[in-house]
Formats: sequence, C-alpha cells, structure tokens
Amino acid sequence: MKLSTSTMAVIAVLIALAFAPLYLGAYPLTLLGRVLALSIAAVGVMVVWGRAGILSLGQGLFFGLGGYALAMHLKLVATPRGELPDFMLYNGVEALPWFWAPFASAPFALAMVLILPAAAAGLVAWLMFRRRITGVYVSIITQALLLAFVTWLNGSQGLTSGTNGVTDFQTFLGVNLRGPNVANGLYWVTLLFVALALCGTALLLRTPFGAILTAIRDNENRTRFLGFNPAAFKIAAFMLGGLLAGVSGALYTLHLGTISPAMIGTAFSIELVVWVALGGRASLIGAAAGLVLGQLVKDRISSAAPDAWLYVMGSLFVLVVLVMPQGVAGLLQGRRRPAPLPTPPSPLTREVSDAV
Amino acid sequence: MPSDTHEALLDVRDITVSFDGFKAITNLSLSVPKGSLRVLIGPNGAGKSTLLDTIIGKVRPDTGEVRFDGQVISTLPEHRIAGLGICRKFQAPGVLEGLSVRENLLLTARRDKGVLGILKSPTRAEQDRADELLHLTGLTGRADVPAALLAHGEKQWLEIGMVVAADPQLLLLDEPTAGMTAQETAQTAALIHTLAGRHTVLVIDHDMHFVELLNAPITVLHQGQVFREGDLHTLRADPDVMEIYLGRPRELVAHD
Repeated sequence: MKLSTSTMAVIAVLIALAFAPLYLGAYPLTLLGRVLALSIAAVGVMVVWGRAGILSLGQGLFFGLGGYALAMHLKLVATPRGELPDFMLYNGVEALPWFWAPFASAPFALAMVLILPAAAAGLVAWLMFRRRITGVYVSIITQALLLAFVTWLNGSQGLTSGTNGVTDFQTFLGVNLRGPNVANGLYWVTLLFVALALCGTALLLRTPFGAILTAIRDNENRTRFLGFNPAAFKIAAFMLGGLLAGVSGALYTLHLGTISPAMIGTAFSIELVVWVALGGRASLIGAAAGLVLGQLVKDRISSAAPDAWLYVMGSLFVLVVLVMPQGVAGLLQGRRRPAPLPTPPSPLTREVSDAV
Repeated sequence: MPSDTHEALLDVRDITVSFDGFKAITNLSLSVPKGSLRVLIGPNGAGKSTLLDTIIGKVRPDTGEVRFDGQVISTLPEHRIAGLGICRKFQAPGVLEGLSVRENLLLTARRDKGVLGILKSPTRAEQDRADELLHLTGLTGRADVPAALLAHGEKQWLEIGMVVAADPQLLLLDEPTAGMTAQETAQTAALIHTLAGRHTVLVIDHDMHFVELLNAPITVLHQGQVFREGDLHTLRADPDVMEIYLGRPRELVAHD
C-alpha cells in the first residue's frame, strides 16, 4: 500500500500525540485531551459542511445529546442506590423521571451516546431535506432548534439540573474518575476515538459516497437528474455529523466532569464552525487541526488577556472569509495543485443557472 | 397498462404548463417511437426547454400527462424518473467539476444509486462501462483530468457520456452543440448517430447546420404547441414555418 506524504504526516502526528503523557505536564495534557475530544465534532462539521455543503449552526444540539446521555449515567452511578440525584431533591422532584431510569445501565447509556444524536440528526435532516430546504435556512433552523434545546435544559431544573448542568461524577465503569492515572487513560481513549473518527471518515469519503456528497454540494439539481436522491445522501451525512458530535460531547463531558447548557450553546456551535473554516472545511485534517490549534491558542490568549479573545476570534473569521475561503489547508493545497477546489456557487447564482 | 401506446416510448398527452398565468405550453401532444432520433426546433420561447423540464419532472403539467413506456411518470419524483431510464443533458454543461472525467462517468454508470448501494465498490461491468464511455466520447486520454479543467466542448461530450452512462432508454439533449466550433459540432452529430438506435434520442437545437447533419424527423414548436412535423427539406419549403422564424430567417435557409 502506498501512502501519500500527508497521510504519513498524520500518522506521525498521531504517534507523537500518543506519547504526549510522557513529555507533557499535567495541565497541558488535560487541555490537549479536552481539545482532541472537541476535534471529533470538527470532523463531523467537515463532513456536513465541507463535503455536503450543509452549514449547521446547531451542532451543539447533538454534542449536548451525547454529553447528557453519558452525564445522566454518571450522575445515577454517583447517587446512592434508592436515592434521587441531588439536584432533583433540591427541586422537589419525588420520583426518578421515566427517561432517567434506563440510564442507570452503562451499556444503555453508551448506546444512547451514539443513537440519540444520530437519530435526532436524522430526524432534523429528514424534515429539512425532504422539503428541499437549503442554504441559510438550514443554518437558521439548526440554530433555532439548538436554542430551543438549551432553553428547555435551562427551564427544566428538576429534570436536567438547569443552568448548573449535571456534575459531581464519581466513577465510570467501575473506574474512580478522581483516581491517579485516570488523566492518562482518558487521554489515550480520546486519542483512540480521534484516530477512529479520522480514519473512518477518510475511508468513507473515499468511496463514491464522498463523491456524491461533493456532487450534491457543487450542483444538487444535476445530481438529482442523474438519478441520485440528494435528500437521502444529505440525511446520511448529517447523521454522521450528529453521531461524531455526540461522541465528542460524551468524551468532553468525561474530561470536564460536567456538562451544562452554556457549554453547548450558540457560541460553542459557531466557534466550532469558525475553527473548521480556519483549518479548511474541505480537508479532514484541516478541520481537526484547525480546531485543536484554535482551542490551544484560545486557552493561551484568554488566560493572558480575557477581553481580547473575542476580537481575535472575530478577526480570524473575517480573515478566513476574505483571504482564504478554503482555510489553511486550502492555502497549502493550492501551492501543490494548480486546480483549486471549486467554490460552491452562491444560492443566487445557483438559482439563475437553474433557470437557464 | 394501455396497449395503444406500446409503439411510442415517450408519449406526451395534451399537456398544459403555466407559470403565474403565462402558458408556456398549451395542449401539447408529442409521441416519440422507441429507438428513434427526433429533433425539436422552434423560436425562442416556443416551449422547448419547458417541454424537457416537464418530461424529467422538474416542472409539473397543470393538465395532461407524460407517459413513458406506457407508465404515467408526470407524478413521480425526479430521481425516480431518472431511474426509469430518462436522462437529460442540460443546456449549460453540468459536469461535476470536483471529480475527474472517469469518476464522473463511473458515478453515473452505477446501477444502485442508493446511499448503501453506492458504498460498494463499482463492479467490473460498471468499470468497463466507464471505459467504453470514455472511448465513445473520445475522452480516454483525459480520463484522470478534473472535469473543471476540460475545454467547453469536452465538457459537453463528458456530459453526454454521463447521461448515456446509466444506459437510459430516452436521452434528452438540450442544445448539445451550444458554443462549439464547426468541427466539434460535426463530431457531436456523429456521436449522436452512434447513440440513436440503442437509445431513443430527443435533441433540441438552434443550429440548422447541426440539425441538417442529424438528418432526422423534426418537430417544430411554436407558442407552446406543435406547429409542424416533417423533415428539414419539407419544412424549409413551408411558408408558415418560414413566417414564425421571420426574426432570423437565415437560420432555416442557410446551407441550402
């Protein structure tokens, strides 16, 4: 098997990352692990936005579903048998709500980490793409659904712990989360998932499935008249994006030991898109690396000058939009290949070209 | 299945299509026999492209129906119509620019176009079909070039290859020679002749030189209706046809 230089570079980086616990201090390692967990959601954004051309501003919804599915299990495990989670007691809830009960089982909760986000994404996508909703309307709808979800989480204190979020976890699968060496183990598990997400997605996009997604992004109507049903392919891509966001959310919850509505809201969902745009939305590695580096820089800048961070992020986004629409990966690629990726036509020109 | 239509592969029955009250097509009927080559001409606004739009399901008729191989198709979704074996080449080339020439052909040659079916690797037969189409369209030497880098004429041929790839029974070609040189036009006419017979082909074009090269029965559309049917020689002698082309009469008389 012949490997391209970029594939070998990625393998080298993954190996270097695998040994990070040997040469990184405790804080940088925790930070890196957290950021790597987020990069799985970025891989999902790359599939959904970069390949299928669907700009979702509501990935936090699926991220949150994955995160909360795991958090509910961790909370029940941390609660003495026969008692209710602390926040339910404070809010006068008398019996465990029906949808909490099954999460006491670890296999069920782990399955839900995958199933809930994918199913929710599938349903949202089915409703949108069956009716041929595209472009900015998709962004608005996904953002609105996320807002509704966050509002519900905040408003249902007794069921979800509201703005405080679900926290105070003790053990997971029998492992004490506060024990020694847990940080290293969690880091490696996260890295394993990152590698799986990258390889799995890369292989999938190499099949004709990836080619059709590109075709739909570049010219949806034409794909339809060639006998493909674009809605089915977009639903599949959106489900994959939701699934990856869910896994990312569950890992992130483990890293932080908490999940709350503030972590999954609008700001998070938009930031995710900004990092993917910066790294290069058409490139799998660009998207993941853009998020990792962006988050690391964010950590530096916001600890040095907290007020400056928003301005830096805003300027970066403007820079990407104006100067490098294909991100850093696009710049690197442009140097090697003469043909740049065709930028998808704007909805307006698309309508005009369909009319002729 | 009604038996009276078994001769015609495509049977357009008394369709009316209107946009915001403007009737683009009025009570139009057209029938195209299996394996034949048919040319559709008419002045701008005669309803040629709207007719093709209606056949492929992009536009729905207000009244009347479109039958394909005896089956009513004017109520089916677009990808189902395409799946039955009707493929259209649009006026502006619509190749998938991010993919190579071979990928473009291979993708459209796939039998199973569902999400799961597409995950399987292409069969030997599908790959052979792609090679055959590369040869047919004269693009063998350009197989691995990204479609975005093709010359205009090559893009047109690639798109013809793509609509032929799925081996559709009915091919709809909308101005396949738009923007081509005289030599490219002649090559395209030869290509279409090799396609007719295996496929039923319906061609729209303005270029009378090209229409002459196709040497096929012609249907003249005018104001959304069938105005005349016949061969080029008869139509050129018809003063009424000359009349509707009055804006540019040279198109019809040239090359006489």
